[in-house]
Amino acid sequence: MENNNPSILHFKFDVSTFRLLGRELITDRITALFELVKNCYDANAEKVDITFESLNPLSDKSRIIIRDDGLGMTFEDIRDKWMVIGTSSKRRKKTSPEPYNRVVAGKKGVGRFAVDKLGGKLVMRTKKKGASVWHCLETDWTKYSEEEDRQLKLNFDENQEEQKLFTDIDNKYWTEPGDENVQGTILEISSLNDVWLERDVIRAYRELSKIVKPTLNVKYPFGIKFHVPEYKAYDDRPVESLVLAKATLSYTLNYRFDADKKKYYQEFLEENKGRLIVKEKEAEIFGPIGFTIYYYDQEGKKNFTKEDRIDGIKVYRDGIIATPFAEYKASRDEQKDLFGIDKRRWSGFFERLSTRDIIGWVDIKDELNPEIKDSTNRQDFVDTKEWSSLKDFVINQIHQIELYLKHQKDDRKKENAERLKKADTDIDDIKRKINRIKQQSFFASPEVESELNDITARLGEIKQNVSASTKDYERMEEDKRQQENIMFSLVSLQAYAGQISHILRISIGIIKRSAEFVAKWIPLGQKQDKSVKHARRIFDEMNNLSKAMNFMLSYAEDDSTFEYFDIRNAIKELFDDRYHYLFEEEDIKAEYVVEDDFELSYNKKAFQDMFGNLIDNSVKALRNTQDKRINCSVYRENENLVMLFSDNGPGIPEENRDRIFDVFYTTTADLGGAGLGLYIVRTRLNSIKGTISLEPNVFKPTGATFKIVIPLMH
Amino acid sequence: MAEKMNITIVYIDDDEKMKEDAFLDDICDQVDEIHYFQKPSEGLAFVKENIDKDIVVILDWKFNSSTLQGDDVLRDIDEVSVLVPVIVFTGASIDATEANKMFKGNAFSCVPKDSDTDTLVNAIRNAYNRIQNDIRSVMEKWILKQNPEKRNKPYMRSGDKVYTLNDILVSIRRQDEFGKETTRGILSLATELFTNNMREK
Repeated sequence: MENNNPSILHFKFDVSTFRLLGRELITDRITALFELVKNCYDANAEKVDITFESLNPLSDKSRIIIRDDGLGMTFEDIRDKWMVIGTSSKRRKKTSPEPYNRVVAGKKGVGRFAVDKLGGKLVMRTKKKGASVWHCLETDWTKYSEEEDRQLKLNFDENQEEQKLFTDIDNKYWTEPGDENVQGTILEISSLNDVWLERDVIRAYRELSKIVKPTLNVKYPFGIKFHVPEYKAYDDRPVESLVLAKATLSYTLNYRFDADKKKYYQEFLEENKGRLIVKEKEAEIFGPIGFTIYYYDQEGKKNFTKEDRIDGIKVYRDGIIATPFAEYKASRDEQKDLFGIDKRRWSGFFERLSTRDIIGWVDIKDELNPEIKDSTNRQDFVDTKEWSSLKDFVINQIHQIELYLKHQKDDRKKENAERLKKADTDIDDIKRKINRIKQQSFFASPEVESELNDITARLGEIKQNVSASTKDYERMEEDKRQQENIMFSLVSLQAYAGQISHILRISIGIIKRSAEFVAKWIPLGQKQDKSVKHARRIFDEMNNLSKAMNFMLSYAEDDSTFEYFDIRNAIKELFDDRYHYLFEEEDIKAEYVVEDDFELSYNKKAFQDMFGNLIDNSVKALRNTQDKRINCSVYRENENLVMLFSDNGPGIPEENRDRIFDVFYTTTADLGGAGLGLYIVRTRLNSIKGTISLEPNVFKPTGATFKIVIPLMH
Repeated sequence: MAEKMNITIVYIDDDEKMKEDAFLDDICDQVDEIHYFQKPSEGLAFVKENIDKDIVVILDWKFNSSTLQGDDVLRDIDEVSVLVPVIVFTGASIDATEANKMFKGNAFSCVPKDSDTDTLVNAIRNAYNRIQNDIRSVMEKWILKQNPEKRNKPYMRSGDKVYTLNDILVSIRRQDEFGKETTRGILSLATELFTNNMREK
């Protein structure tokens, strides 16, 4: 024994150890309950039942029973793990056993001391699948506190032999027969410390609803159910994730297999006149997917704690997160925006949603979506065309929600305006009615008449106020529209300024190095061909620079010189004057049709520049086409001016369709394309709330058609 | 004429225009090979397949069309071998956050896109010098010079593990614990030999 060897001493644990640990780590009974349920989650439980019996008043029947269907423990587990303080296999392993792979929630290895906060006595029954008995262990924490109290009463000099240590206290173990197919752990806590009022149960419920995370792996659900006979509202009630329940909008999109056609069909969202409709189409190249998305407005976001935050869209493959790199990162900036939701221009502004507004997941399967592959470093997906079209799908779905939200907002505005108007007419109505009463009721007493007069006078005041408010409201709306317009211009200008400096740097570098090359090799009489090439490059780059500069200048001018101009004339000037010579030179048949007469309030030159960009693009695209054609038709559609602009060049390949409006994107670098044209057109149009999109080609078999839409009343 | 560098330049830039940049025409006689890639993934694949060559990577930083960005490429190259110098060549403005990403990814240097050819060539030459002088690169080269059969035979034992020359090569490239240890060992041995020599004189 250690007494025989005075050179070695051992630590002993005083009997109050459990209190110290408990007090340090588990501050109240709700946290205690939380810790115990976390253990169920870590044991791969799918179901946890929490029963509260005789909570108020307390009696010897008062109990809290936590029953889960998790993995359970063997006798050895109890002896070597549960009974050893501070052991936490979870500290070594960060995920729960296969196939659940849950990120473990409890890490401290002290969950078992949580019981002390709830009640004095714990009976644990636990068994693994296949075992024929339940292993039962009774821990009577009151024995520990009794011993502690007893020791506190002793004087220091009294006989120390009597002092029991923490490790000396007996815990009763026995077995009970059980069904081999059942697994799980049951914690039965009695000798409860406190009465549980209904609000305590509510608090526990709310707290536990946080464990049911919105980002939870859906294949292996984790459900908690409350059984509280005393409080009916919480009896037999499943704990729902508050977070998901409080979503402003939520959609789940599925797919189905059509056995006759042997094809998969995919559900998708489409906004149509203020309604968000789930439609179906043939599955895209990435294969059929499940897609769940939750959107939160400001009100909905209030339900989130710091850990439980809204963090965009994840991908699950066969129920297991395929994108661990997109998981929680302490610094938001380090978190990967897998789908590029925030990279979209001006995300966060106006009606754009960002990863801070949505939670969702894409469910894929190895077998159905084989081309969505993890890259070897597990940091991303392999850049296949399937992955890129899946990204487009997700972004498009988010965009449909954006359109829907915008429509709703506009509707609300309209409704408010109408309500104000209705209030106004209502008042007139009441006034008329009172007048009628006054006229018809000649028998009315003078008191009634004077009251009626008073009411009429006050109604007059109210009417004035309502009219004033209506005007204010309209003025406010108008101001807001103007501000939004200015914001659009500013934001596009700001984005442009950022990018223009990038372009300038690149262009200047190219010119500098080409000039250096020419200067170095021409005097030596070497590399003649290349010198010519670089001289040409200098010239082309200079042209790009001046284009960029002109655009910048026109921006500086254009907002101040809005004017009404005739569209037919503006287009005529372009086709018949400005580009006439070029069309002839290139042998292009250019036609334009303007169906109605329109006037547009905008900067005429900016408008023409936009078209100039489209024409420039077409001319380049047509360089290898035999029978070259450009067509422009202008017509009115509802409140919009629509322009279709087409050529019969080779068209835009499917894979480039989304990129053509990006700055720098060019396929004609060899012809001096700087990748600015369409970007400029789009920014310009955005600043007046117009849009440009790529349409199915009008010319067959090949060609490109752009559709420009400008609201006539903006 | 400047000294020729026995290196392969891998230039990754999504702006196709840069494929014709004057600096490439200027240095083409000063290096062994130049390979241009528009897609970072393809550039990476090339580096992996040709890791036994002396490679210097010139890397654009912002990629419009790819989910892989400069820092991702840096990290991926680092995983293959820390001995490949990467020169970041960028038109973006580099603030502290971006600079931090470069340092973290072991970028060799950063050259702004509006630099002249000399600046870029200097950066390449510095990278070349590192390949020539870095003890790790010297060890790498020595192993690569051994015949393939010998490289696959057990060469040394450390702790309870036996390493072939190829194992050592991978360790040195990745600079894992064993790689670092071996590098340190060789360095102190070299210093020892050098100083011993001095004492004897």
